[in-house]
Amino acid sequence: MSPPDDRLPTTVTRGLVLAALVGALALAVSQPIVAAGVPIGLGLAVAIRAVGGSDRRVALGAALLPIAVLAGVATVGLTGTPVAGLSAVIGMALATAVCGVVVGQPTAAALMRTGGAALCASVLAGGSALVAIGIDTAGGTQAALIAALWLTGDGVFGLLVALVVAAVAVVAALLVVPPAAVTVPSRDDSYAASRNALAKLIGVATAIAIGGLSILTVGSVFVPALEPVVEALTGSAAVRGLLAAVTGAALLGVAVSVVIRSVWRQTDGRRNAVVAIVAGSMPGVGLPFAAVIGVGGIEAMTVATLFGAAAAALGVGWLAAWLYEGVVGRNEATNPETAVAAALAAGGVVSGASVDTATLGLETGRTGVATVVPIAAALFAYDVGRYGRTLAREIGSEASRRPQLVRLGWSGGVAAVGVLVGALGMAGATVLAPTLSVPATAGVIVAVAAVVGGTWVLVR
Amino acid sequence: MTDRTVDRVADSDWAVAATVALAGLGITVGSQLLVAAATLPLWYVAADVLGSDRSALVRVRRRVTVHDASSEGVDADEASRSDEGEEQITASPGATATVRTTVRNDGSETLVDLRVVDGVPDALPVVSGSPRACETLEPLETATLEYEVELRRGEHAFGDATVRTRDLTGTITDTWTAGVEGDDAVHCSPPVETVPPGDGTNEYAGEVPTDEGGSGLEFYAVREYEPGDPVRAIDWRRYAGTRELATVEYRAERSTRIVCIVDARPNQFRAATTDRVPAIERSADAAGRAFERLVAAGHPTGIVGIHEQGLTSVPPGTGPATRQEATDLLDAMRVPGYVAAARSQTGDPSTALLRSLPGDAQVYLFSSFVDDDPLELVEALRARGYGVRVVAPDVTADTADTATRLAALERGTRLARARATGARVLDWDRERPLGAVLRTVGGEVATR
Repeated sequence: MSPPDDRLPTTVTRGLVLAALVGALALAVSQPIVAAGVPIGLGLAVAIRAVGGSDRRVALGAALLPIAVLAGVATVGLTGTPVAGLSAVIGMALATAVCGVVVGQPTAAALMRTGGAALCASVLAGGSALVAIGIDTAGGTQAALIAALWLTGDGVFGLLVALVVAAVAVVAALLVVPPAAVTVPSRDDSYAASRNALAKLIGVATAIAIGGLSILTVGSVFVPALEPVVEALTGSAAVRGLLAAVTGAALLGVAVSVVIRSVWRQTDGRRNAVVAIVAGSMPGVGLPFAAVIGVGGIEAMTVATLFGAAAAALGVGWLAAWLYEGVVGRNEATNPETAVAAALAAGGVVSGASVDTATLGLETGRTGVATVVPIAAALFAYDVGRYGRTLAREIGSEASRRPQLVRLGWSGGVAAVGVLVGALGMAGATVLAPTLSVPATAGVIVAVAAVVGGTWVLVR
Repeated sequence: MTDRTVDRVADSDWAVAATVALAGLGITVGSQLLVAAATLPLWYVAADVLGSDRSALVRVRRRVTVHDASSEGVDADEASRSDEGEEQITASPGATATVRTTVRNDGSETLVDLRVVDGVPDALPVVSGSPRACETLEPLETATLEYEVELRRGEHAFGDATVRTRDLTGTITDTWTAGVEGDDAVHCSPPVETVPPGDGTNEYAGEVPTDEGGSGLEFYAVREYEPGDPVRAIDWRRYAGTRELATVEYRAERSTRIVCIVDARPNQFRAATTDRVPAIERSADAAGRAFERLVAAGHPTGIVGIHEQGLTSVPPGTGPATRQEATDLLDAMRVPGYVAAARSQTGDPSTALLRSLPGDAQVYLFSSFVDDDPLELVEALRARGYGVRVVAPDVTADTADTATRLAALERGTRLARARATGARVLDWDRERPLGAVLRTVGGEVATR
């Protein structure tokens, strides 16, 4: 029986999704923050999936990735306790793994692009954190803006410097933009002529402006009526704002053009998505930064911490994607269903570890549900996932539903019996002894194991 | 059915490991809940203990239905079955065959996980459906695998089905190959009657569609208007929309002439055994049927007989006189030593034939290919650009003596070389019927 398919059969996939849902709900009984992690994990999965597609999807995914990471970092940061933070991370991991089960393992190319998007977003988030620190140092957003406007200095000299800097930036942007981005090879000569003419025009215009301003300044010495005009020009925030905006936009264009030039030379015949990644990452980081900076009440240092942590997380994500890409390329990647089981089991362990003493009370009941049910769901997911993987390998993903349902029912029944007996045993033990000691519980385990082992020996 | 292989595929090591890990974690962090949760994996260990080996009994039956495109989508299942063997299915290359393999649980217990993989011949690609299935079957319940394969030239034998059952726990598998009742082979080669005329045409209007524009019925292209184009060919709608004149062209239909060449040399009067029909009988019979069919379709068709020292021929035509002459000639060819006086030529027959063939003709060659002369003729015809169809009656099949088997090997090599020249070659097996229904040859005429 040769392997015809790698996708899991549909019914098994639905069973796994159901198990994940039940496990997540059980975890949310004890730690509601898990529910907040789920949509973030879905966003991450969508972003990873999207960067494997067309350029538009790559841009969308690259924009979504930093937003999801920022939301995740903010969620974990707001939880306050390690257990809650871990639970939120587990919710994210669970949702991402479930998406992997439904839509399949990301390809090596998608992971490579994800790594690129994470790295780009990490750099931008780090830059944003530095800007936030700068804003904090300047004393606020408004003060920072004012400082930026008058960075070149006051008076006529400052205005002249601002003019020259803006003109140089615009000309630099014109010259650095790759011709292939705006024209076709057959029109390269005419494009170069137009570009050079435009650069000369900017140069001439700047010279005229400098000359005019100089004449006005000199003239104001002899003609007092010109002084208000010179003061209006040199002291105008609108003029400085316009020049600063032009300079900023031109510098941004230069930076993007340099990146594009460097990556277009490395294509080596392969489709390169770096432009789309850069185009997506910039709004993906810039818009949240602008939003949180613009919202009153959020301190600049908090924003800097958020974006710094996000930059670190994205950097780790880049490293993880790079390593995982190699694993996927060697066909050694963990199956998504195993990842689902691991996430559910981790959630159960975290919940169980958060309670020291089991007493017969509501809190213990909630924690017990959040411990036992996710672990049972994890066991179910692992067992059913192995079955589905074998079925897909031998028959294909289009296998009929009935045997899958039988298998899901059997595995689910075993898990349900385990949960029921475990819960009853736990309740009985806590009734008999108000606080069940760990050694006593371990004795129960040994006893159950002995019964199972004896049965196995008898049947064999 | 082969020996069964029973395996225990799912061990419980993972569950034991999970139990130990959970218990260890619980004891380490002092959590009773985790220690209690460590009992959960043990239930999977216990469930695996319940796995047992129970012999399943299944019955597999296969039914192959051929859908031949040239049969206009009609289910050709019954028509294409050989008269002598129930299991032998015949079909043309390129046709698709629907395979329905039915699996029945003949045992008394429910098979919760029955996996079947049908033995599809390696050379036949599955184009839709799947030859694999996993089903749950109650006693006496059946399941059907339905898939389609694309037929390729040759004889293709289906293999046995591979069957695997799993018990409810999924731990015990029982694997074996089950014999399949019903159809087990497909013989795939084009029937004589389906060999259509090729792409040779002349400048006269006819019925063979070509890849050039002109007068006809089927739309071909729209081109720029040129002075002199007929007014009725102008695309007036385009003119109304763009004020540009354009001319609509239809696919030109040309006439063609077909020459049926029958190899009537002495070696064609031999057969593998005395009780079998010699090649010349079958060649003449096939040529006669093809001639009638082509003439009925309106194609001027002639007959040429190749003898040891000369040619006999009937020029292409469609009239009653041509038909009568062709019938007489084909009948006469069946007599050993016949060489017609009227139209015979002396010298090398092949050379004379090449000199006398019309340049626009298409050639049907009927020969058993038991020597190299027909192959050389095919190569010469192809070198001159003639479209060649070969119908080769097989007089070497199903014989036990070594000499004939060697001759069969050589004949197969010659046919392969003939195919390599670009000729369409039909290796006509002795068991294949000549056919009861002749289809409309005009509808199968290849486009130039």
